[in-house]
Amino acid sequence: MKSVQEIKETIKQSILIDRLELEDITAEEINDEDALFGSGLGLDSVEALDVVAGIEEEFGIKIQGIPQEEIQKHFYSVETLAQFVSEKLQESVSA
Amino acid sequence: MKQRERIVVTGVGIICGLGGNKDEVIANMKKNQTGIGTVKSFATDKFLSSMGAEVKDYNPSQYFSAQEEDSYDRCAQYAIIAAKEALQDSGLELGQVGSERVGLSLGTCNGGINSLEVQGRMNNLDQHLTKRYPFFQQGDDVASFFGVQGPVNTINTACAASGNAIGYAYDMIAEGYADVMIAGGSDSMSLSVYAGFNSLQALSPVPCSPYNKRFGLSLGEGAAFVVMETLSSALERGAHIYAEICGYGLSVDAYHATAPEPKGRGIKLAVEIALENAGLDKTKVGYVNTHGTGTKANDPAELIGLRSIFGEDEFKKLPISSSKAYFGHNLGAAASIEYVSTLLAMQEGFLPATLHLEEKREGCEDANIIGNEMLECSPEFFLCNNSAFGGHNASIVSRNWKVSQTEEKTIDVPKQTRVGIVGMGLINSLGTFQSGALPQVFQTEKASKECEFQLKKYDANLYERRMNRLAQFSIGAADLALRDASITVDDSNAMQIGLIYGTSRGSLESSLKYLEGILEKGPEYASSIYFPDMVLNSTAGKVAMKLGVKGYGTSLSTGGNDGLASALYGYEAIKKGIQAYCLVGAGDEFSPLATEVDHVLGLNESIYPLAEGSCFLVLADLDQAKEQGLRVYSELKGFGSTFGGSQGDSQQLERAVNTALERSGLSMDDIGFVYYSTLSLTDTVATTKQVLDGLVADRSIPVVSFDQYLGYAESTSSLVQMYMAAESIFAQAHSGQAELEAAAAAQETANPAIPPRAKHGLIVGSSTNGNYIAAVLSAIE
Repeated sequence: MKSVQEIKETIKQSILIDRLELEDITAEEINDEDALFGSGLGLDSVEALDVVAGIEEEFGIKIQGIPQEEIQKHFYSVETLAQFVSEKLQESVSA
Repeated sequence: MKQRERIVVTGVGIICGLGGNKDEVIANMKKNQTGIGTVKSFATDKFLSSMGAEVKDYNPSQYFSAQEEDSYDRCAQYAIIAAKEALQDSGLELGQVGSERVGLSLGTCNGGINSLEVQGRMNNLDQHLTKRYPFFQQGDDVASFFGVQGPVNTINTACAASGNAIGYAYDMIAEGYADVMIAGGSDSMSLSVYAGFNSLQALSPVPCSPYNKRFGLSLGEGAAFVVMETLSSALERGAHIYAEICGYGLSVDAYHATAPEPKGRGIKLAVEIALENAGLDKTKVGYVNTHGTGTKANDPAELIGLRSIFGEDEFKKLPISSSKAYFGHNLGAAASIEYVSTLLAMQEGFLPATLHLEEKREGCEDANIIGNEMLECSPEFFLCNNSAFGGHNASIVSRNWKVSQTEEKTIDVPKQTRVGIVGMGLINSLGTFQSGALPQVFQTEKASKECEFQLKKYDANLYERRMNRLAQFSIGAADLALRDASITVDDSNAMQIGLIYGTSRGSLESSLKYLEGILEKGPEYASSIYFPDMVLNSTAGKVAMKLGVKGYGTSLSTGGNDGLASALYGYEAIKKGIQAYCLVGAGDEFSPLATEVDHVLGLNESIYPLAEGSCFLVLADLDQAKEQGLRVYSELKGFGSTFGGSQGDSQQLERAVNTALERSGLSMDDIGFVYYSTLSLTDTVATTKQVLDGLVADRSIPVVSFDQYLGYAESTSSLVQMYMAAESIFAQAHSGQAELEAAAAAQETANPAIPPRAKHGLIVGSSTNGNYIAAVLSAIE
């Protein structure tokens, strides 16, 4: 089982930097609390969906089809997203 | 007052999830049946939906010989089947009309994608299969199948493409380029496209129900075509008339890659332009067949747009419906399938319904949606609207001939506007240029035609992450052209500036990333960020968005003279007074997948180095531009457009030239130089040069291709010739001549490309499949 810290690193490097190809920033420079959307990293709704696909691929969990409101809640920052992934991973283990 | 012929539809053909021909389709519509069911073409278990409207029990051998079946992608196959039915229905014999007076326009969202994805790899591609892939190949295959030799064009504005193709056909007849046009659209079910919509979470788990509480769309596949001709010819031969096409409109949102502008601004403008073009008051419209996909983003936005056109009270009374619950969203074929099925319903006195409508969703409650069952109603006039990724919209205004006929064969048209070139932008291996590239061309010793332009360095505000190089070149060149014309885009003029873009392939760099991702990771992990670039109009959409251009707009593919095809389209839009200004452009980009396609086209043996970059011109209402004190480089006098079906068709090349001359009111003796671009293969270039030399006869004027200096760029080269011609003519009329000669002198001998005191120049561009476009440019008197 991956620790929350490991999950955060994977999100930053594999998803935000490699998959979304964020420019002019490195994984180390992304703060856990930075807003992913709007004034933070500036992701848009289509990129949010690509984060969903990235999470599924990286962590082997199924989250596609979750409502927009859930995305807004859990995808606020790397911190909230990592917590969400961690919970999903635990669910998949206990299930 | 000048008059033009009325244009009518005298034949229809259709193949889609609801039926394999027009009789099956209307029979199933009357039974309120849907063609949406479980997809059989590929496994859907890892997707959010398994729904789709596939053509049932498709058996190509029922329609094609083994050799034909092998030559055509599924997209072209569906198109041929529908076009054949439409021709039979019309009763027209192409031989009697004369194939030179018959043209074809086809709209497609995904072209021959099946032929690419079936290979399961993105390198070492199979030559034969890959030849069937390009977007322009679909239109060209259908044109060749029927042997048409008039104007041929493949419109690539995604989900609005076939509505736009019908509009283009209307222009071609109205402006006298053709007497008969075959027009429609086609797209086939594709795993990579399905995966893309899945990644965007746009698919409905159950058959779609536009405007309903439940969100989501269902994909479909198929084709529909119409045969269009003049009212006089239809009446003369006693043909059955379905409808008069009274006019059409286009627009570009300049808002988002996939979502419509939330207030429906784009579709509103397309409808407004269509109504004006048709000379019809909005109160006469009795039905609107809407785009209505079923998605959260589309449906309410579209209705807001319509509400703002018709007014709250009138909108509530106006019957509308989306037909997509019958046969799904057919993407590039959506508009034509919806148009043809609407005509079929009207023949029986009905209007199409939106099936599966239970409870109208928020924002749609006040709409008079025809739900679940066709409505017995025969309006005189109706609209068919469609909107697309990239922000392109199309609206067609038609008269329901069954209940509303007119004896008047012609209608008055307003005075035609003169068209001038007022701005130029060019980005290539030599650098970035507004005007002023001509003298530089001869000084180059650079062998590589790779373009080093980076938009981020040029203007970081115009750049965004992951922007492919095609978009970077094109935004840069368009920006340069606008600056050259001293036009600043703001709210006051954004909707008066059009944008027409030509691209044979779009960004294959982005397509490759998307398709490789699917191959490596699986379709369930498809990239939602690269999927929107799979549609070729994504580049035009980005240019519009970044520069804030919100007027008339489209994107097209011809496979070699795309740039000139854009200029022709923009010229007609200004001539008719639709827009005061219009950006026309084209672009090309190197990538590993592009190299594979080059190989298939034989371009690995190109006699000139292959090149990348972009070229844009700003066309304008010449008189208005002069009044505003803008510099006018040259006047666009006229165009010719023909199709030969293969490279080196001397006859069609000559005919394109003669048509352009005739439409310009000039003869070959008036022409001072000829600039041309053609597929850069030894034989093709030699044949083209020979034909043009023959037309020039014993007059010693330059017949030159700038491709020999700048390299061959499939989509852009033909427009670059026009750029050089405009500059050459302008320089000669002004003080620049000395500089040009100095530059030429520096190159050993006097440069043969720049003739002294030429008043008129001829530009010729041709494609890999023998699409020929010629244009005449003249000095400003």
